[in-house]
Amino acid sequence: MNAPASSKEKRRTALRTIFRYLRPYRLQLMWGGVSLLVADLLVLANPWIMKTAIDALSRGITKRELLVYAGALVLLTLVGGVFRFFMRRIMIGVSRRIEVDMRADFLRHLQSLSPSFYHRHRTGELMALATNDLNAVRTLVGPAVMYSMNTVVIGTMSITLMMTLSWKLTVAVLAPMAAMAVGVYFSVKVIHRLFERVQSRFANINARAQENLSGIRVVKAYAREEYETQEFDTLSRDYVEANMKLFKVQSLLQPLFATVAGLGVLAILYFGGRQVIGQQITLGTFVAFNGYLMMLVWPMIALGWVMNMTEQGLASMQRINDVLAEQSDIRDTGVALPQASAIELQDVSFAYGAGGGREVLRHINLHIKDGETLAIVGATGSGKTTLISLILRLYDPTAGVVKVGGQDVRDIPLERLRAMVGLVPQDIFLFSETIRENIAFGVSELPDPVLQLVARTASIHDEVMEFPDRFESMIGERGINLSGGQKQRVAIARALARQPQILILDDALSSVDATTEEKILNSLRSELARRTAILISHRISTARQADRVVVLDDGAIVEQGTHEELIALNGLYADMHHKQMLMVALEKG
Amino acid sequence: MEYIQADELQEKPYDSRLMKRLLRYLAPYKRMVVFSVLLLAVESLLELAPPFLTKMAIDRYLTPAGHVDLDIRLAGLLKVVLILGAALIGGFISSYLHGLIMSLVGQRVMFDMRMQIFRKLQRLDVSFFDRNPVGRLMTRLTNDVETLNEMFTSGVVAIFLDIFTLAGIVVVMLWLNWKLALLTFTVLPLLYVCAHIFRIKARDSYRNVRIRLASLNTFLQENVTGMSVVQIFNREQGQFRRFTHLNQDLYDAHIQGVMAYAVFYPAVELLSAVAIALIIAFGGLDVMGGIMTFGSLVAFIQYAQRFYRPISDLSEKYNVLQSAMASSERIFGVLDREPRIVDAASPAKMPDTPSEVVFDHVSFTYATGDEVLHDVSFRVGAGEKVAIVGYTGAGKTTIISLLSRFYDVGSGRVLIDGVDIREYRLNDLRRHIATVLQDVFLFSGSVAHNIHLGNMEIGDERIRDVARYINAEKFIERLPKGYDEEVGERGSSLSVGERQLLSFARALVYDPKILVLDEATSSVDTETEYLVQDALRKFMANRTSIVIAHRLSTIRYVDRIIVLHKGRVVEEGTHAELLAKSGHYARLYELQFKDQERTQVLE
Repeated sequence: MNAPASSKEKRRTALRTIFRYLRPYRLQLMWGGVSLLVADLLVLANPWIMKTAIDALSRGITKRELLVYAGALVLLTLVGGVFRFFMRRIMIGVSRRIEVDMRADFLRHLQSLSPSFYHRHRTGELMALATNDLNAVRTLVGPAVMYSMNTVVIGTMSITLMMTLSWKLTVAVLAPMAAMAVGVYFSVKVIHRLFERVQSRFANINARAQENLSGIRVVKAYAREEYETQEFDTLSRDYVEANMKLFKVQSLLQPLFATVAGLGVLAILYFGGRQVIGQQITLGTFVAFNGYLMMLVWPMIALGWVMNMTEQGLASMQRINDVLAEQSDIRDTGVALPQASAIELQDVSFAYGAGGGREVLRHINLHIKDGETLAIVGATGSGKTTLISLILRLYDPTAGVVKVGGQDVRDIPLERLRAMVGLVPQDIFLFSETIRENIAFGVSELPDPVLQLVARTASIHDEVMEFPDRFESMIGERGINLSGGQKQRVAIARALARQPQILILDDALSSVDATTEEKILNSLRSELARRTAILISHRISTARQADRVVVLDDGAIVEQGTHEELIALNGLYADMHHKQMLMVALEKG
Repeated sequence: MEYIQADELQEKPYDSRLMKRLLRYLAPYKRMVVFSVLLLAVESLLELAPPFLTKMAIDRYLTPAGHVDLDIRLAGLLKVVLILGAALIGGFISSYLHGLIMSLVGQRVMFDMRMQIFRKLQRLDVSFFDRNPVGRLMTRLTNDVETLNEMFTSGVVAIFLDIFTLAGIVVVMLWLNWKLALLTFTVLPLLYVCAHIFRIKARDSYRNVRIRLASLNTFLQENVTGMSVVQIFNREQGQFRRFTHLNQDLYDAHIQGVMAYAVFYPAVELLSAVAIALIIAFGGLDVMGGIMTFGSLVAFIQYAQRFYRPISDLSEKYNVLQSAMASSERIFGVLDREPRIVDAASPAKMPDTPSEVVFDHVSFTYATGDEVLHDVSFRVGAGEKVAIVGYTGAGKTTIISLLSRFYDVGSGRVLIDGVDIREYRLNDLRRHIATVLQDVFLFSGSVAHNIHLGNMEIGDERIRDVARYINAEKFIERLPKGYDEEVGERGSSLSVGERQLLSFARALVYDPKILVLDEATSSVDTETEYLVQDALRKFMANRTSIVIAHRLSTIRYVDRIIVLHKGRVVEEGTHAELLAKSGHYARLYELQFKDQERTQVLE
């Protein structure tokens, strides 16, 4: 954790981060700025042309001159349009590029963080950063920058031009405009606040409905449908009410813009009209004023918005920075290379969470020889999976040393350590990709024959061949739903595909019946024989395949030896064995 | 956030049948809608005013044809300005009111619709929920309803505004100078084509963005959730490369949109410039020829600048309509579903005494096709306590589901006091039976709320009495806020045993006559275990009780045991009788119950 920074400092850091992302595109942004400038200047010429044309008309003018004015208007707009195209394409394009860069950096950073980070931050929270907050930052570096530049250019230029035409009229016209910019700024603030309330009430509705639908069986069992409906009714009404409060302010904006613009027209008509009558300005000037006024409306509206976008963008950048500042508690600095694949735990203890957590493993001493197959059995929560996490260095032990191939795992480069291991985790996590991609997940390349081979060894091959797209079948919502047992076997194939020196099966066959398990274990036998292997299981039938069995109870090793030795011991293991024999009998009976 | 399901990306062409049905939701608010349309008419009329008033001011007072007194000119100008001011205020009011009214109507319609869906969901059968994941139903209630809101608020009615405004501009221009008007109108088709092409491009881009954003977010979410798998398999680089592709794809889709906007805005400006150039060139000639006044020329220019908005709006509305069509079809899909398990036409009266329960040759098959009960018959006498035991998958929980009519039997009958349960009112039936499921589902809210479940007829006194009786009071009072302690999602603050006791209390406050209970398998500490067992006994007293037993003490306590195996009743009798048979039960006993003996002896 980093030391708490003051909010000012955080804001500065956020700005610095944004500039760091902008820097690589500074040349492009410069061209974007130039395009904006040219386009704006050309647009500003339009009212001037109209003024000249109308003034000329009142003096008398040839047909040809009239056509020149008309032609100039079209031509200038055309050229201006080309520059306006470049302006938007470049400036918004760059902001999308920066979004891509930031998103990539975000994921890369997440990849470097250890499981303890993911215990503290929920997926939804991280997703919100990668979507909503990132979007707010993108809006800041794109539209906010573009519109503010536009406002500055159009604003100063048209005001200057208006001043040269008639400064009195300019002041009369600008007053309502300035008021509008301030009005937009504050109403957007209010809208934002009201909107957040709407969002939270919406979240209430969501949560309520979700709970109701998840617990629909209880609702029905207790005949609470009426009550639930009433509750939902109340929440829905609250939501409607919050929405209406929002709309009362939000609906003001559009008519307000129109009216303020109208007030400008009114001011020009009155003050300008008087000046025309007094022959202080020409009719052309009067028309040009109207034109400049129209040009000012949008930049003024944008001004208020831009200020809000900037605030939100900076706040989001700070939130993203908070995650980017996190450091992994697993330091990957080792350079030692393990010799062979023996595993050793020397007086290892472990507790989740820094200090004060309950010890999940207590003084574990364990040596797994190179090429040996060890089974670990024990009740849920006895610490089996934690033990494996330590070997893979997902966590570092609170006390003691974990060695692989004679080296402390903290001295082995993480990538090297993990490359040695093929793990079939307890909670199988497969990606929404094809079966082939899932099996090949841990290797850069998987030739067909190898794919077929590992799938056969994992006893999943024949079932895959029955899917419509075979190995190309998609897994997940948009594809086929695999059963728990199928998932486990795909995960076994995935682990085997790595050709690991160490194979770890963490309760990997819990979802298949005993007969299938036996079949799979048989085909795995040669794989196990060639490797150092750890089998975690609650089934004795699995454990007895191992060279040696360790029984874990409440974080400590309580029994160890061969299957026969432990049966003879007549302890925890023997008891499990007896019960499972009965279960087999029941299943058959 | 963009968590969208694949079926949300659909669009549907305009369908008048769906539209008719949607418009019916507006019926209760007919007056408001009509009023709003009237306001719209006023609004678009007032929108036409400024250019016309400018023309009036120029022609009559600024540059009048003949000589007019200065005073009259100044006074006239003031008059025009005042009219314009009035028009502005009127426009502001009508536009604000119309916006507000339509928002209100939209909100009301959404409320009605959301409640209608919710009510329907409360009535639908459990089997419907087996087939439809919660996430999908949530989408119906939230996103789909919101999409329709957009249509009602900004879509349907606003179309009138665009049409009114456009028509108004056309009429005024024709009236001012029909030849010049017709000439100027030549840009209209171009403007429409331009807006149309833009709409298609923008929609394509938007759709691509949504699809690619969805897959990018799915990828991101999976990778965050499965980060340890990624790390263990050293796949950081590989996954990052894949991510880079998705990231780039999304960028491309965004740029597609940027291009559309970047081309469209200048194109519209250009067309607008062409229209103004036409007016200056040909209108200028007319002015020189004395056919047209300066004022009309200026008004023409201003009107031409107002063409664009209604035209582009009109083309955008179609998008809104399309997504609304798709959403409404999905919503109606839920609304049109009817529950199959409903009250009988003339329901029988539920007796007020402990009742006899009979399963009479009951078979049941889930929609998935697995038959779980096969010709099951048994009888539980009034006030009798029966345990059902069996190995996993024997069909025990299905018996509970059938008794509370979560599902109806495939064949055979379930009888309470000799009457088929389909003859009773559903509510009566379910209140008569207390169903305690193994996984105690806690609602967010207080402990008290989780007991009374919102039934305010149950007073605090009753809740306390029941909690005390059922041994729950002790642990509840140990909680910082006692009965007001918040539980729920994170009800993990309560232990398994405490949850059990809470669920007993929940069932008991209704004083049910039949108890159906799925005993928890997970073990709890000895003290709580004792409390649970004691509570269970109190609960079973004077009630017809069917318990899916996992506790030795329970099977010893009940009057009779029914052994279920693979969907059939295989043995029946008391504990002693069944043990003596050394059949199925005997083996089951040794496996599931026997080692509880040790702990019991210790007690």
